[in-house]
This record gives sequence, structure tokens and C-alpha cells, in this order.
Amino acid sequence: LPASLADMPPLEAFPKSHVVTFKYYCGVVSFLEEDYGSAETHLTYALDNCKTDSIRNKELILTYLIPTTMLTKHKLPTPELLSRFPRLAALFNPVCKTIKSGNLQAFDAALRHGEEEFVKRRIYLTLERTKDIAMRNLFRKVVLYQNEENRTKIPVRQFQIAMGLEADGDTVMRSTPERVEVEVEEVECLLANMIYKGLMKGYISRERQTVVLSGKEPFPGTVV
Amino acid sequence: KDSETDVQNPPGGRLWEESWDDDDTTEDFSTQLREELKKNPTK
Repeated sequence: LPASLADMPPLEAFPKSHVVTFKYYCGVVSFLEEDYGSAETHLTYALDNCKTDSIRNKELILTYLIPTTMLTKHKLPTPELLSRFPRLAALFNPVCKTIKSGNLQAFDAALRHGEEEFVKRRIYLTLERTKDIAMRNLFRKVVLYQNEENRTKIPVRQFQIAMGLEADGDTVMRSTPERVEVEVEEVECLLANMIYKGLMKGYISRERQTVVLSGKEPFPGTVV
Repeated sequence: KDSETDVQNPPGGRLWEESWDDDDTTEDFSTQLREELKKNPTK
């Protein structure tokens, strides 16, 4: 695709509707190549220039722009946005809800529940990656629910409890009734991952089994 | 049918959630989490 671009007249020379279609496909190609930065640029252009009344086209664009934005900006679609597109709401609502609550068991259930549809639209793998955000939100809650004075030093045990919390309460599915016990090593590994990916700021004190969090913005970009 | 529309698009409304803070504390999962964490005090 990039090779052929050089021989092409400027995009402005084409009718807008063609440009929108072209940008949509560029976006989908980038998306499938996991180049989410470019996907975001192309798809945003397509959405902004799409005719106001072409609901179906917007729906198609958003099918890819929503998972893209979840990964690039760590942002979820607003309920107002989804409410305008019932099909997208059905597709994304369960996953978005569990990402927001940080309920990991329910997140997995939502992913399994929508698997067929997600695979068909080729967004399954991308959505799977948004589990990081669900986990970040869960860990963030663990921190927020500590007493004010203990918010920078938190026992790994607390995160372990949070990760094992069962899914009941979330309406998506209730088929995993038993409590999941997560190994402490796994919890440490996931915490280290969060820190490595820049979703959390701090370090793990292994001898004290404690997570020491940065006093300033331990969860960058979330105003905490 | 190529009428060039320059209508403000998408019309009104935010697309993306700006904050994670409208935490619904009455939501079951949050309540449960809070309780479970309390049962295992920090110190």
C-alpha cells in the first residue's frame, strides 16, 4: 500500500465519499497489521468526514476505531456514542463494562461470550489486549480502597485477593461460581508487567511482599 | 450521489470517556472488592 501511494494524485482530487472509503480501508489494513497509531489516524479521518446520515458506514468505521482507541488512548466509548449505534452497543458494551469495573473474571466471560462475533470482525485479538486496562483499573481500585495513609505501600496479598474475586454481581455471566485462587508469583508477574508497560508507577519489594507506588500519579493518565 | 457534506460530524457528544472516576460505588463488584480487601487488613 505505501509503495503505490507515490503514483497517486492528491487525495483531494477524489470525491469525498471515495476518500472516506479509502481511509476506512487504510485504517482496517493498519489495524490488522497491528499498527494502531496509523489505524487511529485513518479511521478518525474517515469518521470525521463520513456523511452524517450514513449510519452503517460509521458503524463499520467505529467497529475498528473503538478497539483501536482502547489500546492507543486507553479510552472507552461513551454511553452516548454507543447508544446511537445499537449494534455496536451489543458488541462492545459487555466488554467495556468489565474493563471499567476491573472485574477480570467477567472480562474473560464477556470475551468468550462474544468470541464468534469478535473473530468474524477480526477484533478478537485486539480486544484480548485490552485486558491490561481492565487489570489497571482493578489495581487502581485496590489502591483507592486503601486507607488514605497506606496508599503508597500495599501488600501484594491485596492485589492477589482482588484478582481472585469471583464474577458474580456482573450480569454478563454467572458460570464461574468458584473463587479463583491466583498464585502470588503470577500476581507479582502481572504487577511487574503493569509497571513495565507504564500503566502503573512504582516497584515491588519482594522481601516485604509489598508494592511501593509512586506518590505522584501512580496510575498515569487516570488522575490518580 | 456525491454531495459533499460539511455538516459538523460527528454531531455533538463526546466519543470517548474522559475519566475513570465516575466509579459507581453501589456496583456489586466494587462493593465486593471493598469488603474482601477489608477482611485482609493491610497491617
